[in-house]
Amino acid sequence: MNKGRRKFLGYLLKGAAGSLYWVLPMPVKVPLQLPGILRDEKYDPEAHEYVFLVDINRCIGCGSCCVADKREYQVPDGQYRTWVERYLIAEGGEVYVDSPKGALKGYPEPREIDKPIRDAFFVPKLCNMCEEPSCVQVCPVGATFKTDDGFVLIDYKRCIGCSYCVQACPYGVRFIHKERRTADKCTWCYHRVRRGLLPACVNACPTGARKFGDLRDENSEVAQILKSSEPLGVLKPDMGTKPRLKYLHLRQEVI
Amino acid sequence: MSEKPNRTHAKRIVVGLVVLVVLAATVRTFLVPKDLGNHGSLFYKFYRKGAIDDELARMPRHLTNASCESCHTWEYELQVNSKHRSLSCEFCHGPWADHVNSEGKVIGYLPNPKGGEAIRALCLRCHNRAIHARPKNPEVIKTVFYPDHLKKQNVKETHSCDQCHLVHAPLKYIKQADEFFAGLEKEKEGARE
Repeated sequence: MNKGRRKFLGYLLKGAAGSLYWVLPMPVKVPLQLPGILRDEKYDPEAHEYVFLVDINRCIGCGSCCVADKREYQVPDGQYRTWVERYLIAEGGEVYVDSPKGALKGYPEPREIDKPIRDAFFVPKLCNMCEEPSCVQVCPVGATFKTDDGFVLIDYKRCIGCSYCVQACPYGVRFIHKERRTADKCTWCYHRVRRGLLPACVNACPTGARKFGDLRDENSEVAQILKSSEPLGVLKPDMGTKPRLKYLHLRQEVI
Repeated sequence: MSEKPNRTHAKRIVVGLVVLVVLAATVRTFLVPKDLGNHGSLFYKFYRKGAIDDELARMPRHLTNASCESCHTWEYELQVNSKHRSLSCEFCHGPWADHVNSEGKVIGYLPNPKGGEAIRALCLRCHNRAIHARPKNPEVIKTVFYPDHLKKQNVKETHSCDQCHLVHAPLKYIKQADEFFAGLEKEKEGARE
Protein backbone atom coordinates (compact mmCIF):
# COMPACT_ATOMS: atom_id res chain seq x y z
CA MET A 1 0.00 0.00 0.00
CA ASN A 2 2.68 2.49 1.00
CA LYS A 3 4.58 2.11 -2.27
CA GLY A 4 1.45 2.67 -4.33
CA ARG A 5 0.46 5.63 -2.26
CA ARG A 6 3.92 7.21 -2.47
CA LYS A 7 3.95 6.76 -6.23
CA PHE A 8 0.48 8.29 -6.49
CA LEU A 9 1.44 11.28 -4.36
CA GLY A 10 4.51 11.68 -6.55
CA TYR A 11 2.23 11.96 -9.57
CA LEU A 12 0.23 14.59 -7.76
CA LEU A 13 3.28 16.71 -7.01
CA LYS A 14 4.37 16.68 -10.65
CA GLY A 15 1.20 18.45 -11.73
CA ALA A 16 -1.73 19.11 -9.45
CA ALA A 17 -4.28 20.38 -11.99
CA GLY A 18 -6.17 17.78 -13.97
CA SER A 19 -4.97 14.93 -11.81
CA LEU A 20 -8.62 14.01 -11.26
CA TYR A 21 -8.62 12.22 -14.58
CA TRP A 22 -5.63 10.00 -14.05
CA VAL A 23 -5.94 6.31 -13.66
CA LEU A 24 -6.25 5.52 -9.98
CA PRO A 25 -3.87 2.91 -8.56
CA MET A 26 -5.43 -0.37 -7.47
CA PRO A 27 -3.79 -2.90 -5.14
CA VAL A 28 -4.85 -5.76 -7.47
CA LYS A 29 -7.08 -6.06 -10.51
CA VAL A 30 -10.55 -7.11 -9.43
CA PRO A 31 -13.78 -7.15 -11.46
CA LEU A 32 -15.74 -3.89 -11.30
CA GLN A 33 -18.67 -3.74 -8.92
CA LEU A 34 -19.91 -0.43 -10.33
CA PRO A 35 -20.04 -0.91 -14.10
CA GLY A 36 -20.30 2.81 -14.89
CA ILE A 37 -16.72 3.57 -13.92
CA LEU A 38 -14.06 2.39 -16.32
CA ARG A 39 -10.63 2.55 -14.76
CA ASP A 40 -8.79 3.41 -17.95
CA GLU A 41 -11.03 6.23 -19.12
CA LYS A 42 -11.48 9.82 -18.08
CA TYR A 43 -13.94 10.26 -15.26
CA ASP A 44 -16.63 12.87 -15.74
CA PRO A 45 -18.11 13.71 -12.33
CA GLU A 46 -21.10 15.50 -13.88
CA ALA A 47 -22.20 12.32 -15.65
CA HIS A 48 -22.86 10.38 -12.45
CA GLU A 49 -25.55 10.63 -9.82
CA TYR A 50 -24.98 8.24 -6.96
CA VAL A 51 -27.70 7.13 -4.61
CA PHE A 52 -27.53 5.08 -1.43
CA LEU A 53 -30.59 3.03 -0.52
CA VAL A 54 -31.24 1.35 2.81
CA ASP A 55 -33.96 -1.29 2.95
CA ILE A 56 -35.21 -1.40 6.52
CA ASN A 57 -37.18 -4.62 5.92
CA ARG A 58 -34.02 -6.46 5.00
CA CYS A 59 -31.71 -5.32 7.80
CA ILE A 60 -31.21 -8.04 10.41
CA GLY A 61 -28.91 -6.07 12.69
CA CYS A 62 -25.85 -8.28 12.26
CA GLY A 63 -23.49 -5.29 12.30
CA SER A 64 -21.25 -6.50 9.44
CA CYS A 65 -21.42 -3.04 7.89
CA CYS A 66 -20.20 -1.36 11.07
CA VAL A 67 -17.29 -3.80 11.39
CA ALA A 68 -16.29 -3.31 7.74
CA ASP A 69 -16.46 0.45 8.13
CA LYS A 70 -14.37 0.52 11.28
CA ARG A 71 -11.69 -1.62 9.64
CA GLU A 72 -11.69 0.26 6.33
CA TYR A 73 -11.01 3.61 7.99
CA GLN A 74 -9.46 2.43 11.28
CA VAL A 75 -11.96 4.57 13.16
CA PRO A 76 -11.02 5.08 16.84
CA ASP A 77 -13.02 3.19 19.47
CA GLY A 78 -16.15 4.97 20.55
CA GLN A 79 -16.58 6.89 17.30
CA TYR A 80 -18.76 5.77 14.43
CA ARG A 81 -18.99 6.71 10.78
CA THR A 82 -21.97 4.41 10.46
CA TRP A 83 -24.08 2.61 13.02
CA VAL A 84 -27.28 0.57 13.26
CA GLU A 85 -30.16 1.54 15.56
CA ARG A 86 -32.71 -0.89 16.98
CA TYR A 87 -36.29 0.33 17.09
CA LEU A 88 -38.88 -1.38 19.26
CA ILE A 89 -42.46 -0.12 19.04
CA ALA A 90 -44.87 -1.17 21.79
CA GLU A 91 -48.57 -1.79 21.29
CA GLY A 92 -49.36 1.59 22.88
CA GLY A 93 -47.13 3.39 20.38
CA GLU A 94 -44.12 3.95 22.68
CA VAL A 95 -40.84 3.90 20.78
CA TYR A 96 -37.65 2.44 22.26
CA VAL A 97 -34.38 3.07 20.43
CA ASP A 98 -30.92 1.80 21.31
CA SER A 99 -27.62 1.11 19.62
CA PRO A 100 -25.14 -0.58 21.97
CA LYS A 101 -21.58 0.10 20.72
CA GLY A 102 -23.06 1.25 17.40
CA ALA A 103 -23.93 -2.40 16.63
CA LEU A 104 -20.23 -3.28 16.27
CA LYS A 105 -20.93 -6.50 18.18
CA GLY A 106 -24.35 -6.99 16.59
CA TYR A 107 -27.40 -7.46 18.77
CA PRO A 108 -26.77 -10.68 20.69
CA GLU A 109 -29.09 -9.78 23.60
CA PRO A 110 -32.79 -8.96 23.22
CA ARG A 111 -33.96 -5.75 24.88
CA GLU A 112 -36.34 -6.58 27.74
CA ILE A 113 -39.46 -4.42 27.74
CA ASP A 114 -42.51 -5.23 29.87
CA LYS A 115 -45.01 -4.08 27.26
CA PRO A 116 -46.07 -6.19 24.27
CA ILE A 117 -44.06 -5.30 21.17
CA ARG A 118 -45.89 -4.40 17.96
CA ASP A 119 -42.91 -4.07 15.67
CA ALA A 120 -39.13 -4.36 15.85
CA PHE A 121 -36.68 -3.35 13.17
CA PHE A 122 -33.21 -1.99 12.54
CA VAL A 123 -32.24 1.31 10.95
CA PRO A 124 -28.69 1.72 9.63
CA LYS A 125 -27.50 5.32 9.81
CA LEU A 126 -24.77 7.00 7.78
CA CYS A 127 -24.05 10.28 6.01
CA ASN A 128 -27.13 11.51 4.12
CA MET A 129 -25.05 13.32 1.44
CA CYS A 130 -27.54 16.18 1.27
CA GLU A 131 -28.16 18.18 -1.89
CA GLU A 132 -28.14 21.26 0.33
CA PRO A 133 -25.80 20.31 3.17
CA SER A 134 -25.99 22.51 6.25
CA CYS A 135 -22.55 21.32 7.38
CA VAL A 136 -20.99 22.87 4.27
CA GLN A 137 -22.81 26.16 4.74
CA VAL A 138 -21.42 26.72 8.22
CA CYS A 139 -17.77 25.79 7.61
CA PRO A 140 -15.74 28.99 8.11
CA VAL A 141 -12.62 27.82 6.24
CA GLY A 142 -14.04 25.96 3.24
CA ALA A 143 -12.82 22.62 4.58
CA THR A 144 -16.00 20.73 3.71
CA PHE A 145 -17.62 20.83 0.30
CA LYS A 146 -19.81 19.13 -2.26
CA THR A 147 -18.11 17.49 -5.24
CA ASP A 148 -19.58 17.62 -8.75
CA ASP A 149 -20.78 14.04 -8.43
CA GLY A 150 -22.68 14.87 -5.25
CA PHE A 151 -20.43 13.63 -2.45
CA VAL A 152 -19.94 15.81 0.62
CA LEU A 153 -16.28 15.46 1.57
CA ILE A 154 -13.89 16.92 4.14
CA ASP A 155 -10.54 18.54 3.44
CA TYR A 156 -8.59 17.17 6.40
CA LYS A 157 -5.68 19.53 5.80
CA ARG A 158 -7.82 22.67 5.96
CA CYS A 159 -10.13 21.63 8.78
CA ILE A 160 -9.38 23.51 12.01
CA GLY A 161 -11.61 21.32 14.18
CA CYS A 162 -14.00 24.07 15.25
CA SER A 163 -16.89 21.54 15.13
CA TYR A 164 -19.47 23.96 13.73
CA CYS A 165 -20.36 21.28 11.20
CA VAL A 166 -20.78 18.69 13.96
CA GLN A 167 -23.46 20.92 15.46
CA ALA A 168 -25.03 21.82 12.13
CA CYS A 169 -25.60 18.26 10.89
CA PRO A 170 -29.24 17.36 11.58
CA TYR A 171 -28.43 13.65 11.40
CA GLY A 172 -25.51 13.62 13.85
CA VAL A 173 -23.15 11.78 11.51
CA ARG A 174 -20.16 14.07 12.07
CA PHE A 175 -17.65 13.86 14.89
CA ILE A 176 -14.23 15.23 15.79
CA HIS A 177 -11.71 12.46 15.10
CA LYS A 178 -9.91 11.65 18.35
CA GLU A 179 -6.44 11.29 16.83
CA ARG A 180 -6.50 13.70 13.88
CA ARG A 181 -8.44 16.41 15.74
CA THR A 182 -10.41 17.27 12.62
CA ALA A 183 -14.01 16.69 11.66
CA ASP A 184 -14.74 13.28 10.14
CA LYS A 185 -17.74 11.48 8.74
CA CYS A 186 -18.90 8.80 6.35
CA THR A 187 -17.80 9.52 2.74
CA TRP A 188 -19.79 6.72 1.06
CA CYS A 189 -16.28 5.35 0.44
CA TYR A 190 -15.45 7.91 -2.26
CA HIS A 191 -12.00 6.35 -2.77
CA ARG A 192 -13.60 2.96 -3.46
CA VAL A 193 -16.43 4.23 -5.65
CA ARG A 194 -14.01 6.07 -7.93
CA ARG A 195 -12.11 2.80 -8.35
CA GLY A 196 -15.30 0.99 -9.36
CA LEU A 197 -15.83 -0.76 -6.02
CA LEU A 198 -18.93 -0.65 -3.84
CA PRO A 199 -18.68 1.10 -0.46
CA ALA A 200 -17.21 -1.21 2.19
CA CYS A 201 -20.49 -1.50 4.12
CA VAL A 202 -22.50 -2.37 0.99
CA ASN A 203 -19.90 -5.00 0.08
CA ALA A 204 -20.15 -6.53 3.56
CA CYS A 205 -23.96 -6.53 3.89
CA PRO A 206 -25.14 -10.16 3.67
CA THR A 207 -28.84 -9.45 3.07
CA GLY A 208 -28.70 -6.61 0.54
CA ALA A 209 -30.19 -4.12 2.98
CA ARG A 210 -27.68 -1.53 1.82
CA LYS A 211 -27.68 -0.74 -1.89
CA PHE A 212 -25.53 1.68 -3.81
CA GLY A 213 -25.55 2.68 -7.45
CA ASP A 214 -25.65 5.23 -10.21
CA LEU A 215 -29.05 6.69 -11.12
CA ARG A 216 -27.87 7.58 -14.62
CA ASP A 217 -27.26 3.87 -15.27
CA GLU A 218 -30.74 2.65 -16.25
CA ASN A 219 -29.98 -0.98 -15.42
CA SER A 220 -28.64 -0.41 -11.92
CA GLU A 221 -30.64 -1.80 -9.02
CA VAL A 222 -31.14 1.62 -7.42
CA ALA A 223 -32.50 3.13 -10.66
CA GLN A 224 -34.95 0.26 -10.97
CA ILE A 225 -36.12 0.69 -7.38
CA LEU A 226 -36.52 4.46 -7.69
CA LYS A 227 -38.65 3.96 -10.80
CA SER A 228 -40.81 1.28 -9.13
CA SER A 229 -43.69 1.80 -6.68
CA GLU A 230 -41.65 0.83 -3.60
CA PRO A 231 -42.22 3.22 -0.68
CA LEU A 232 -39.22 5.52 -0.27
CA GLY A 233 -38.47 8.09 2.39
CA VAL A 234 -35.76 10.35 3.71
CA LEU A 235 -34.88 11.30 7.27
CA LYS A 236 -36.08 14.70 8.55
CA PRO A 237 -37.47 16.01 5.25
CA ASP A 238 -38.55 19.25 6.97
CA MET A 239 -34.93 20.29 7.46
CA GLY A 240 -34.77 21.12 3.74
CA THR A 241 -31.44 19.37 3.27
CA LYS A 242 -32.70 17.05 0.49
CA PRO A 243 -30.78 13.91 1.46
CA ARG A 244 -29.42 11.67 -1.25
CA LEU A 245 -29.64 8.72 1.16
CA LYS A 246 -33.08 7.14 0.74
CA TYR A 247 -34.77 4.60 3.01
CA LEU A 248 -36.98 1.86 1.62
CA HIS A 249 -40.03 0.98 3.75
CA LEU A 250 -39.28 3.76 6.22
CA ARG A 251 -41.52 3.91 9.31
CA GLN A 252 -42.80 7.25 10.53
CA GLU A 253 -41.32 6.61 14.00
CA VAL A 254 -37.77 6.77 12.66
CA ILE A 255 -35.95 10.04 13.25
CA MET B 1 2.68 81.63 14.31
CA SER B 2 2.36 80.08 10.87
CA GLU B 3 4.33 77.10 12.00
CA LYS B 4 3.41 73.88 10.18
CA PRO B 5 1.42 71.53 12.41
CA ASN B 6 3.29 68.34 13.31
CA ARG B 7 1.65 65.37 11.50
CA THR B 8 4.26 62.70 12.24
CA HIS B 9 1.76 60.60 14.24
CA ALA B 10 -0.70 60.55 11.32
CA LYS B 11 2.04 59.63 8.86
CA ARG B 12 3.16 56.84 11.13
CA ILE B 13 -0.32 55.38 11.22
CA VAL B 14 -0.67 55.55 7.41
CA VAL B 15 2.75 53.98 6.81
CA GLY B 16 2.07 51.34 9.43
CA LEU B 17 -1.25 50.44 7.81
CA VAL B 18 0.29 50.22 4.33
CA VAL B 19 3.08 47.95 5.62
CA LEU B 20 0.50 45.79 7.39
CA VAL B 21 -1.66 45.40 4.29
CA VAL B 22 1.30 44.55 2.06
CA LEU B 23 2.62 42.08 4.61
CA ALA B 24 -0.77 40.43 5.00
CA ALA B 25 -1.20 40.17 1.24
CA THR B 26 2.24 38.55 0.78
CA VAL B 27 1.76 36.11 3.63
CA ARG B 28 -1.70 35.25 2.36
CA THR B 29 -0.46 34.41 -1.14
CA PHE B 30 2.02 31.99 0.41
CA LEU B 31 -0.38 30.39 2.88
CA VAL B 32 -3.62 30.07 0.89
CA PRO B 33 -3.46 27.17 -1.58
CA LYS B 34 -3.69 28.15 -5.26
CA ASP B 35 -6.54 25.75 -5.97
CA LEU B 36 -8.75 27.02 -3.15
CA GLY B 37 -11.71 28.83 -4.61
CA ASN B 38 -15.18 28.72 -6.02
CA HIS B 39 -15.63 25.58 -8.12
CA GLY B 40 -19.25 26.01 -9.17
CA SER B 41 -21.14 27.35 -6.19
CA LEU B 42 -20.03 29.78 -3.52
CA PHE B 43 -22.30 28.06 -1.02
CA TYR B 44 -21.38 24.42 -1.49
CA LYS B 45 -18.37 24.22 -3.79
CA PHE B 46 -15.84 26.64 -2.31
CA TYR B 47 -12.96 24.28 -1.64
CA ARG B 48 -9.41 23.20 -2.37
CA LYS B 49 -9.42 21.03 -5.48
CA GLY B 50 -6.51 18.94 -4.17
CA ALA B 51 -8.71 17.70 -1.33
CA ILE B 52 -10.39 15.31 -3.77
CA ASP B 53 -6.98 13.89 -4.72
CA ASP B 54 -6.12 13.54 -1.04
CA GLU B 55 -9.30 11.52 -0.54
CA LEU B 56 -8.50 9.38 -3.59
CA ALA B 57 -4.97 8.70 -2.34
CA ARG B 58 -6.57 6.59 0.37
CA MET B 59 -6.16 2.97 -0.71
CA PRO B 60 -9.06 0.55 -0.30
CA ARG B 61 -8.38 -1.73 2.66
CA HIS B 62 -11.22 -4.09 1.80
CA LEU B 63 -11.51 -5.56 -1.68
CA THR B 64 -14.11 -7.95 -2.99
CA ASN B 65 -14.60 -11.69 -2.61
CA ALA B 66 -13.24 -12.12 -6.14
CA SER B 67 -9.86 -10.77 -4.97
CA CYS B 68 -9.46 -13.80 -2.67
CA GLU B 69 -10.09 -16.25 -5.50
CA SER B 70 -6.59 -16.36 -7.02
CA CYS B 71 -5.00 -17.87 -3.90
CA HIS B 72 -7.94 -19.40 -2.02
CA THR B 73 -9.71 -21.03 -4.97
CA TRP B 74 -11.05 -24.02 -3.04
CA GLU B 75 -12.79 -21.92 -0.39
CA TYR B 76 -14.00 -19.44 -2.99
CA GLU B 77 -15.59 -22.15 -5.14
CA LEU B 78 -17.32 -23.60 -2.09
CA GLN B 79 -18.63 -20.23 -1.02
CA VAL B 80 -19.97 -18.82 -4.32
CA ASN B 81 -22.17 -21.86 -4.88
CA SER B 82 -23.51 -22.03 -1.34
CA LYS B 83 -26.19 -20.36 0.75
CA HIS B 84 -23.44 -18.19 2.22
CA ARG B 85 -22.53 -16.61 -1.14
CA SER B 86 -23.66 -13.13 -0.05
CA LEU B 87 -21.21 -13.04 2.86
CA SER B 88 -17.98 -11.10 2.59
CA CYS B 89 -14.79 -13.14 3.17
CA GLU B 90 -13.26 -10.16 4.93
CA PHE B 91 -15.96 -10.01 7.55
CA CYS B 92 -14.71 -13.18 9.29
CA HIS B 93 -11.09 -13.13 8.09
CA GLY B 94 -10.20 -9.44 8.36
CA PRO B 95 -9.43 -6.87 5.67
CA TRP B 96 -7.50 -7.75 2.54
CA ALA B 97 -4.88 -5.06 3.17
CA ASP B 98 -3.90 -6.40 6.61
CA HIS B 99 -3.28 -9.84 5.14
CA VAL B 100 -1.53 -8.97 1.87
CA ASN B 101 0.42 -5.84 2.80
CA SER B 102 2.02 -7.42 5.84
CA GLU B 103 4.04 -9.62 3.45
CA GLY B 104 3.08 -12.86 5.14
CA LYS B 105 3.23 -11.68 8.74
CA VAL B 106 -0.54 -11.57 9.21
CA ILE B 107 -2.32 -14.60 7.79
CA GLY B 108 -5.87 -13.32 7.98
CA TYR B 109 -7.92 -13.89 11.08
CA LEU B 110 -8.78 -17.56 11.22
CA PRO B 111 -11.42 -18.11 13.87
CA ASN B 112 -10.33 -21.07 15.99
CA PRO B 113 -13.08 -23.67 15.69
CA LYS B 114 -11.70 -25.80 18.56
CA GLY B 115 -13.35 -23.92 21.38
CA GLY B 116 -16.52 -23.22 19.46
CA GLU B 117 -16.61 -19.70 20.89
CA ALA B 118 -15.41 -17.91 17.75
CA ILE B 119 -17.64 -19.93 15.46
CA ARG B 120 -20.64 -19.23 17.61
CA ALA B 121 -19.85 -15.51 17.94
CA LEU B 122 -19.66 -15.17 14.16
CA CYS B 123 -22.67 -17.37 13.30
CA LEU B 124 -24.93 -15.92 15.96
CA ARG B 125 -24.65 -12.43 14.55
CA CYS B 126 -27.27 -13.49 12.02
CA HIS B 127 -28.63 -16.88 13.11
CA ASN B 128 -29.95 -15.77 16.48
CA ARG B 129 -33.57 -15.77 17.54
CA ALA B 130 -32.79 -13.00 20.07
CA ILE B 131 -32.17 -10.49 17.29
CA HIS B 132 -35.91 -10.39 16.71
CA ALA B 133 -36.11 -8.37 13.48
CA ARG B 134 -39.62 -7.98 12.07
CA PRO B 135 -41.35 -10.40 14.50
CA LYS B 136 -44.67 -10.28 12.64
CA ASN B 137 -43.10 -10.95 9.27
CA PRO B 138 -40.42 -13.61 9.66
CA GLU B 139 -40.37 -14.33 5.93
CA VAL B 140 -38.38 -11.17 5.16
CA ILE B 141 -35.09 -13.01 5.54
CA LYS B 142 -35.32 -16.78 5.36
CA THR B 143 -32.77 -18.46 7.58
CA VAL B 144 -32.49 -20.84 10.52
CA PHE B 145 -32.13 -19.51 14.03
CA TYR B 146 -30.39 -20.53 17.22
CA PRO B 147 -31.71 -22.22 19.34
CA ASP B 148 -34.86 -23.15 17.36
CA HIS B 149 -32.89 -25.04 14.73
CA LEU B 150 -31.01 -27.14 17.31
CA LYS B 151 -34.26 -28.02 19.10
CA LYS B 152 -35.94 -28.99 15.85
CA GLN B 153 -33.01 -31.25 14.91
CA ASN B 154 -32.97 -32.82 18.41
CA VAL B 155 -29.44 -31.62 19.12
CA LYS B 156 -28.04 -30.32 22.41
CA GLU B 157 -27.85 -26.53 22.60
CA THR B 158 -24.18 -26.73 23.57
CA HIS B 159 -23.25 -28.04 20.12
CA SER B 160 -21.17 -25.79 17.88
CA CYS B 161 -22.51 -24.92 14.40
CA ASP B 162 -19.47 -26.37 12.64
CA GLN B 163 -20.06 -29.83 14.09
CA CYS B 164 -22.62 -30.37 11.32
CA HIS B 165 -22.03 -27.47 8.92
CA LEU B 166 -19.07 -26.46 6.83
CA VAL B 167 -19.00 -22.71 7.43
CA HIS B 168 -18.14 -21.78 3.84
CA ALA B 169 -20.87 -23.97 2.34
CA PRO B 170 -23.31 -24.81 5.14
CA LEU B 171 -25.29 -27.49 3.30
CA LYS B 172 -22.41 -29.34 1.61
CA TYR B 173 -21.95 -32.09 4.20
CA ILE B 174 -25.67 -32.23 4.95
CA LYS B 175 -26.41 -32.96 1.30
CA GLN B 176 -23.59 -35.52 1.14
CA ALA B 177 -24.96 -37.29 4.23
CA ASP B 178 -28.49 -37.24 2.80
CA GLU B 179 -27.27 -38.79 -0.44
CA PHE B 180 -25.25 -41.40 1.46
CA PHE B 181 -28.21 -42.48 3.59
CA ALA B 182 -30.55 -42.48 0.60
CA GLY B 183 -28.05 -44.80 -1.11
CA LEU B 184 -28.02 -47.09 1.95
CA GLU B 185 -31.81 -47.29 1.93
CA LYS B 186 -31.81 -48.27 -1.73
CA GLU B 187 -29.19 -50.95 -1.08
CA LYS B 188 -31.28 -52.34 1.79
CA GLU B 189 -34.38 -52.47 -0.40
CA GLY B 190 -32.37 -54.13 -3.15
CA ALA B 191 -31.09 -56.78 -0.67
CA ARG B 192 -34.62 -57.53 0.52
CA GLU B 193 -35.86 -58.09 -2.96
